[in-house]
Amino acid sequence: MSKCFVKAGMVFVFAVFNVSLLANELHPNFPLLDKQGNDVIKSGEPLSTIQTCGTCHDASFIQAHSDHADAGASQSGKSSTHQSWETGLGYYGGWDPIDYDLATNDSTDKVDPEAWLKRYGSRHVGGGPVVDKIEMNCLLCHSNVSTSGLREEAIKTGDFKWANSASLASLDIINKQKNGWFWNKKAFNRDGSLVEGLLSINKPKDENCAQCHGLVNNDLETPLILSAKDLGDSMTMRSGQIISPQKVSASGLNIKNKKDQSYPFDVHSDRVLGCVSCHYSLNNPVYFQRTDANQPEHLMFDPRRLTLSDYIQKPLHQFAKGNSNHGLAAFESENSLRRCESCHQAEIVHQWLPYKTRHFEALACESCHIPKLFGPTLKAIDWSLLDAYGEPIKQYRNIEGSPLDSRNMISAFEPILLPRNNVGGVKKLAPFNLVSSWFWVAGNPIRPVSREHLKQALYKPGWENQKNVVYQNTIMKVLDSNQDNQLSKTEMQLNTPEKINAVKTALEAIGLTNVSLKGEVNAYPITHNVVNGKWATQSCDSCHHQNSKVDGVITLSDYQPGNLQPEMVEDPTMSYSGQLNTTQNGQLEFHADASQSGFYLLGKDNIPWVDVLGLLMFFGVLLGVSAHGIARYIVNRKGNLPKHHYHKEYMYDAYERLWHWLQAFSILILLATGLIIHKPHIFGIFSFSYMVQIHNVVGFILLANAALSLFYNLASGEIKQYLPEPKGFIGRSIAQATYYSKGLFEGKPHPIEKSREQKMNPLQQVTYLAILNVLLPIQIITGLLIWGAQRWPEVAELFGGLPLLAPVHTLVAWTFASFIVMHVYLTTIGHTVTSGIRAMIDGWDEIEDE
Amino acid sequence: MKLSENRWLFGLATIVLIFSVSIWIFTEKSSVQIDEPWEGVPVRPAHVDHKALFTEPFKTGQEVTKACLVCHEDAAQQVLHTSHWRWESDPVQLEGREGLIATGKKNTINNFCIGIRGNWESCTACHAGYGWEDEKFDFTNADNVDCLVCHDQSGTYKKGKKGNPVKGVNLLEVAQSVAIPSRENCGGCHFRGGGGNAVKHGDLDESLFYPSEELDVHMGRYDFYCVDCHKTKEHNISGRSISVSVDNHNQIACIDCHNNKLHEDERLNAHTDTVACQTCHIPLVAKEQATKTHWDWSEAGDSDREEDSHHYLKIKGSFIYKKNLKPTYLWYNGLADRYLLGDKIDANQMTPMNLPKGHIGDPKAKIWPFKVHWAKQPYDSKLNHLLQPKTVGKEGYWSDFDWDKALRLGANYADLEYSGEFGFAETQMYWPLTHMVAPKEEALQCKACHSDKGILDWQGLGFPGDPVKWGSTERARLIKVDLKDEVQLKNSENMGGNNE
Repeated sequence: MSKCFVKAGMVFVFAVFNVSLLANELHPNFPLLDKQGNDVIKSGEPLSTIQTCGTCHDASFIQAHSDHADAGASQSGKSSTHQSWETGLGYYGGWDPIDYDLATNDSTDKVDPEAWLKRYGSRHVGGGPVVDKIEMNCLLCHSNVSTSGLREEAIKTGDFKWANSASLASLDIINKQKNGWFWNKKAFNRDGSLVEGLLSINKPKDENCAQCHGLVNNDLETPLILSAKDLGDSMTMRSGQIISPQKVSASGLNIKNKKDQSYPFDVHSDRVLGCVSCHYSLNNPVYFQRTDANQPEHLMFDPRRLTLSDYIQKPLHQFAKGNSNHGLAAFESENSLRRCESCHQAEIVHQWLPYKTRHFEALACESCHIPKLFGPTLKAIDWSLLDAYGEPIKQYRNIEGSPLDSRNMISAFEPILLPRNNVGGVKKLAPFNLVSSWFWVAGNPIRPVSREHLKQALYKPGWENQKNVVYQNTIMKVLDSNQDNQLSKTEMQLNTPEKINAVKTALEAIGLTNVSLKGEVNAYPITHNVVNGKWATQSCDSCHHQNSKVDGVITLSDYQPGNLQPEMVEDPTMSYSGQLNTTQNGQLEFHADASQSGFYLLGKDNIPWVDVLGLLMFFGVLLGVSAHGIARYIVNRKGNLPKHHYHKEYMYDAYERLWHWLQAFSILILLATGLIIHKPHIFGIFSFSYMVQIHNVVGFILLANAALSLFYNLASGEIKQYLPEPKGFIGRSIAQATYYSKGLFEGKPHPIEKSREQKMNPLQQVTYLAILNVLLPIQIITGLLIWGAQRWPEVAELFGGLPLLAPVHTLVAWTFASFIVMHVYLTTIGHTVTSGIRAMIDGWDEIEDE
Repeated sequence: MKLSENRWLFGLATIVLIFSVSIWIFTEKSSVQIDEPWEGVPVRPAHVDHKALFTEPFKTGQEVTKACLVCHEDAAQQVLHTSHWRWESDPVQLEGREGLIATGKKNTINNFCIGIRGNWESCTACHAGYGWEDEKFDFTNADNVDCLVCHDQSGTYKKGKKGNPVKGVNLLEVAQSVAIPSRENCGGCHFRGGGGNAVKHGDLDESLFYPSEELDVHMGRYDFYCVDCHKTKEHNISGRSISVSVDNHNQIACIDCHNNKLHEDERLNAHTDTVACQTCHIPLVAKEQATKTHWDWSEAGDSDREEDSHHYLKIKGSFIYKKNLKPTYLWYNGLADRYLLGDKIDANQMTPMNLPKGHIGDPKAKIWPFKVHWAKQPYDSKLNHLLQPKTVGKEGYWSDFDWDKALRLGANYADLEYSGEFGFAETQMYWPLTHMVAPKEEALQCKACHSDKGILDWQGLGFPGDPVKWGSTERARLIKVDLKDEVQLKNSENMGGNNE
């Protein structure tokens, strides 16, 4: 046996020098066919993917069941749109201020498929609404073809017929020559099939998805860098997301404090997941799980599923997805994606987190697990003016200047947290990027001014054929405020009435009517670039703090074109909880405010008047007793007060004293910790989490102490001490009050004799009755509800939830604090200053002789 | 004070107790640190300045040794039992061979300078002793123990031929400087094994004299000496390598200090039964100095070729050196087969000199990183065994460039048969990598292995495919089969015993 392994080892040693082929060896070699089903190498005709792949797969079925092919076209007109000029919500006919142009026909408002293809076709897979022009290109997602630019060029120039064939140019299977496209004979075998190993057919790799969706780098050896392609309307530019297992620190990007970020851009990518691990085909028998409403509840797993051969023949090309305002508008597939909790048992790894359930209820996992993003993230895209290259003016959140220039440093982008409407109607805070966009609209009904019109209005004639264009004199004059014939960054900002008018006039001059500037803000959800818990937001004061992440501020634009308030584009998946604000230097900001959506965070939220009232009460009492004390001191110093004789009497038995001190210490600890929890930014040296825990524990001690004492008082009948004798109550109260305010200073004896049977005067009785039977229960109940909000959120909600419970709890706490001041002071009016306290320590009080 | 007056103290104590006990019980404890690696690191003995102890000049190394032994009475006797002195192991039973076999530098060959017999005077410059020049060297004579090579801290001590100090070394100054061995002492020989810096190991070279933390986190970040891990008892230094050793006693492991399951990540901890720490934590070796990966003796002797110690030397042949060498990964249970002099080879095949033992079904084996050194070295083409040339000194190959003579002389020294016909055969040597541990940030990531372009050849290692997708049941299954075989074997042995 061992010999056999020795041999195996030796074979292996040789094998390692031979890098194994990456091609998918399972997929058979196949001929490329044209529309008629003939070998292209014989006919010289363009490739038909439907014919070629359709030999084995049901290509027509696939084409008819593809969200990517449909691009939302089938939804057109079926639901209301955000903007009046949109014909649908998807890529086909929808409005996206980053991509800008509509490609709809001005007069009919219908999408012109040819114009749309030329404008957007390079990022469309074919099929769907343009099926009669370009078939769905299976190779883009299922093979190793790479962008050579020829496919894009074919689409742009209207050479749709050859567009799909052109994608094979990167593998040298086809060549473009002056007089047309020619299949390369060397790439084909005699039987018309492709030479082995040339074209590798595989399930979509991340790199396939990356062609449109953003920066992907699965190679650990080559540090990732940005290319122009990654900055299209991709998730990298929209929200800084980069899909790579590389550690940020090992990437090729120029990132601030890079060395400290030694974690992968995307932990799922690091852990060998690919895009299709989550965004799988909805009938892939390996991944999908039926969620039919009519599936019996007792069945966790239904083993009756498609066989692999069925699936390979007819794979749905509708992929599991989340729910976003942007993209293909594939409504049927919305929220088909498995959620974090479908794979992760969050409870197990969050043992350290206090109030787990409460946090899980209020926060999407992404809020803590996507703390930072490192792709250049768009802040604003301004089409109110085009630069000399015909491009809009872009502002990035985390980089100055061009992201493609590696000398410019990228800083981390911390997303803003806004309420996201999760499946099932639960509102959770989740990370977003907000991008503002500014553009001209004109006509009736209004629609965005096209790029061509903009250029026509802004540039001098002849711009179509120039690389570097010249602005119209009228435009240049107002823009170039320092008249140096150069346009600086600030000069290119359309932020004064003169500049705006100049462009408006120029647009009207080319025949546009009803011209006005418009701004909108779109929210882009962030769900990728999840980090391992070690790198996630963990500290309590990230949120439970005056400067809470939850109330983040995000700049929408460094300037506000035309002082316009942009429209927050309605998004059913989230709410803009917060308000817009323009800073003194003209920056437009969005201030998130989670409390608008009913989130109440201890340590962040409070009602200011509660604290003002509480402080007034506290210092009022302090002031009162101080004045009283000073007066007593002055009177006492004169020394002509009559002397009383005192005798000792055993007033408080051991249990009473224990109860009292337990209660006293509990309240003091609760007040102290409560204050820290309430204003953590003032008491930064204390651990918020630890204070909360102590507060909870001591709260329960207080509760237990109160309950035992209630039992004791009831059982022993001592309770009657607290109950004022109704007869003559008012008279006695007045007498006591008079004593405090007058008699005390004249050295008169206490009006009401203190004894074992009657320890309290009527004022004490009323106060303690209120404190122990009203305030204490309120405090205990509100405290319990706040504590229990994590276990029984419904109960807390019943009582108004945290937004009501917490301020009440705070107000009562202030009352307790004030009471303690008064209470401690009043212990000093016995025989000596300390005799009151001594009595509560050893039980022996000193009572005036009669 | 009366007791009653102090009763309030009891009350206070009760209250404090109630609070502290409840808070202690009901608050979250900070997680306990599971890894205490410093507990495994020995405390270095306090340094004793030897300056005042020696005043008279020494003429020979032996005189110094004598002076050392005045106080360190047992030291030399201890050294006599170590492999640093004997260059040979205790006799052990080798699988597939009869009798007990003692191996070591003294009597085996490698695929670098091949063997020491007949070449003593040059090779023994790295022997921890004086005067080993032929087979007659007396291994019981403690006078010849070289204390200084390991203990000199003056940096001026240098050994020459036969291990004797070279002319000009001030032995008094050297003796006055002695202390616990530093990296310079160990590195003096071990970084230069194979005839020069960075030749042999790949993970041991002169860059480790003053390493950065990126190069070696232990020596660079924490300033470890070699002997901090290679703990030494009675001059017996722990640690061994299958380049010379055939047993695995007195070995060192990462888990001597580190907890085997210390990763915060459960997923990573699941690897530790199958993957050696070194595999992930030593992603590259020869990070600063290129190491030799190929040596072709057959091209030696060409006076026309340009000489360059990294490509070609007339006396040695041609070489390939590689920097930032990516390891080769093999199953390894700590032991290796060993080519012994006289073993037959198949000259048409590569002969492994020390093939690591272990396979997927071996519960003790883990996937380890290796430097593989390929060589073409002389063999007897008629008798089909490897030969050991005399290279050094008079009539050696390096002076006469006569292979036949060198091989004949070498065979004589090595007690080998030599037919007079020779050729060059391919051999490979395996160097398990364990130094140059990178900071944890540099450790291999999942996709380094678990991806299309991964560095592991899963099928070569015996897996049906990447275990991320295929699972690791194959190993579990084979281990079970293996254990079952063993049990059955034992049972049958026992039964046999009963019958007798």
